[in-house]
Amino acid sequence: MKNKLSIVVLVGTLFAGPVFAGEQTVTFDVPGMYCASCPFIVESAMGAVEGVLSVDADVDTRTAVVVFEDTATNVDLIAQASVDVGYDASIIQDKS
Amino acid sequence: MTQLSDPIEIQQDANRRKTRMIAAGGILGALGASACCIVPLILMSLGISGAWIGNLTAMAPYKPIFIVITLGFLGYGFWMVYRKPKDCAQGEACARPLPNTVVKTALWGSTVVITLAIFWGSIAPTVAPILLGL
Repeated sequence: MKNKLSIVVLVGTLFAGPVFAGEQTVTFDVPGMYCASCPFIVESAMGAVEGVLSVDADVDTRTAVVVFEDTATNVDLIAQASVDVGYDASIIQDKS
Repeated sequence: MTQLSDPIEIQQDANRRKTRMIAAGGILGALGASACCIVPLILMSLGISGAWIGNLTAMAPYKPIFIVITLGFLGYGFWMVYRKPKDCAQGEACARPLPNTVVKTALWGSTVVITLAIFWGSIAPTVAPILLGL
């Protein structure tokens, strides 16, 4: 019985990582994005980060919804990519 | 530099210089109007990027001012270049239209750029994804 339990725990541990990792959707606040070209520049910069699956920047709400693979990148790297092209970005929403 | 003694020639030369200044003003105005929105996108598409891109786009609120100034320059510039010649008396220092390819090219070039800048809000959604490969 103890052995069986150990095997279950071991298997569980092995698969726990991939179960929790995966696609994440995050909304960034990008206040400087107020011209017609801005959302495209932000989309291009954030989209170039490895692991980012999609970026949808909206000039009206000045937000960018980013879907990314959390095993490949993180919110800090994505925000930094936006900062690097002159647009400060801060996370406002996180739903996995 | 040739010495001008004829008053008509002097007038023509002054007008030519004035038109050139106006055309230059038109170009600068058009560049100012496109600095916020068109220029950053072109630079990004060429792989030129940096945090200063955000500074260019921060000029967006001044775009209407640049547009008005540019249209003023262009209106006056086109009038200087294409206006109808007045009947002038012999020897009178009346100005004729100034045939100048450089000035005309500058005026028409600025016209194209300022038109793009004015309608960029409608053009960008189509052009930007192509330029940036989105």
